[in-house]
Amino acid sequence: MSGLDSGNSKDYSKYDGMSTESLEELLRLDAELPDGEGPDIDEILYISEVIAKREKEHPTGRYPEIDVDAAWENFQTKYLPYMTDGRSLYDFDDEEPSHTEEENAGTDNPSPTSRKRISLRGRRHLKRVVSIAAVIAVLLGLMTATAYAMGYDLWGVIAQWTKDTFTFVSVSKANEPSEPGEGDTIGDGEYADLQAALDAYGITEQLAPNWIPNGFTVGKVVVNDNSSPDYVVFNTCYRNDAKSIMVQIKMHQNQENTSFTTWQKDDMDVDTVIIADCTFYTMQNAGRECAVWINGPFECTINGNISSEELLKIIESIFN
Amino acid sequence: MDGCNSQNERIAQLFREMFDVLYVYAKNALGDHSLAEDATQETFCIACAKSDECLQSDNPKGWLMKTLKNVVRNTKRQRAKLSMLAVISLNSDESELLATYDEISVDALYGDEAKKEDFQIFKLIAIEKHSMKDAAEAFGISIEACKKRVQRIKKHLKKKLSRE
Repeated sequence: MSGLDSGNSKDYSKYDGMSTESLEELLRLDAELPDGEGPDIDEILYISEVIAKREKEHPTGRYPEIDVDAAWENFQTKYLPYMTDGRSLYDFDDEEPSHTEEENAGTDNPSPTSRKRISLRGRRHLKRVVSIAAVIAVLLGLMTATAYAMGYDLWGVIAQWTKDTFTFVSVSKANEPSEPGEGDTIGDGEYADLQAALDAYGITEQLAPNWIPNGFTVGKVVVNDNSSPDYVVFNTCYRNDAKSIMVQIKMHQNQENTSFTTWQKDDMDVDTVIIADCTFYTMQNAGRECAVWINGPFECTINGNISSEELLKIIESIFN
Repeated sequence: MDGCNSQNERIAQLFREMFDVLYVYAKNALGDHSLAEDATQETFCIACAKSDECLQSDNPKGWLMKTLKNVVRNTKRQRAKLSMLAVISLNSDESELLATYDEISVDALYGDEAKKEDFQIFKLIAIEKHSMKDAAEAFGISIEACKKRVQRIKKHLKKKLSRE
């Protein structure tokens, strides 16, 4: 299928045989992941095309019938005129118009304006980052011996956050700009739950939660193990109607070339919770509660539209 | 089509080929028809504004999808921030007045009819989760005017809350 015009020769036909519900789950999962952590763009396009084609042939009612002529009319009369203000439709900030994230779509480099903004923010938050790094250095001393057994030098990793992002950083790379990975692909494999996937990879560390709030059911477990020799990513998503809880475990396999994820966060402080000698950093992103932690070579996160109390119970359950 | 000039035809062609495909992604990512339509339409607005970049890329359809993903991410963030402001407003000392503004006049809070209507638009988008297009249609105004009025009331609320 597909009118992909990228010259991409990858074979995505495996998606032709998947159920529409599974394909939709993949799209929802992709939307929850940070930039560069999901399938590649052509893969997402292919999946979306498969669903759109099926919907045309056998409407399910989950999508309204798209009248492209009416949509084009709306585009010309209702949407296109607004672009004169040069800002995103949902950008309600008070500052003067500037380059927004989506204006940089299709390019890999931040605009000069955004560089300037980062620089200003950087100065404002430098004190905070330095003091946080000092505290984290002490906290890291409490982490498990497992990491050392696997050859990971946890003293060489610090947590850093600014107003908008959170990431772990190798000390040796602390001053380099982060470059999130690109072009990941989804590996094959069906697992009943996250623990089953971890078991299949011989992982014995306690990483998967054993408790999820009532009403949530486990969705597809996606293991991304063929896009980079440097890491394997395990993803799963629990759903309860419109609510979701996402769990991601990234197993780094190359200490020399560790690429930590940069997580978006809301403009509020990061809290820490220590459970079983493991430090969990908790914050919010887009109104969702998030926890991020490192256990040896495993970089892990849980986020969801749940309460902070529920998040705490989930991370406590990892060690139960 | 203003703003797209000589590349109109190609953008129009992409619109017809890709609108439903992009909409499928947006609908699953945002979980709502109207928000998905907003995001898909905004993606093509950006394609018009950056038509050279879009059309000259190796993969214009991929460019559109990448742009849509950024639009979705921005939409989620900005709406979450707006909802947070709404929640903070409702938790403020004047929460009773804010929460019951339909029953009693909000003039005491916002001073004039314009602000009262701005707050209604704000409530529609931030609390009742309507899309910008739906809110604009409900009040018989353009999307641009709707956005400006939300910006105005947001600024007012932030200023008001910072004084508390």
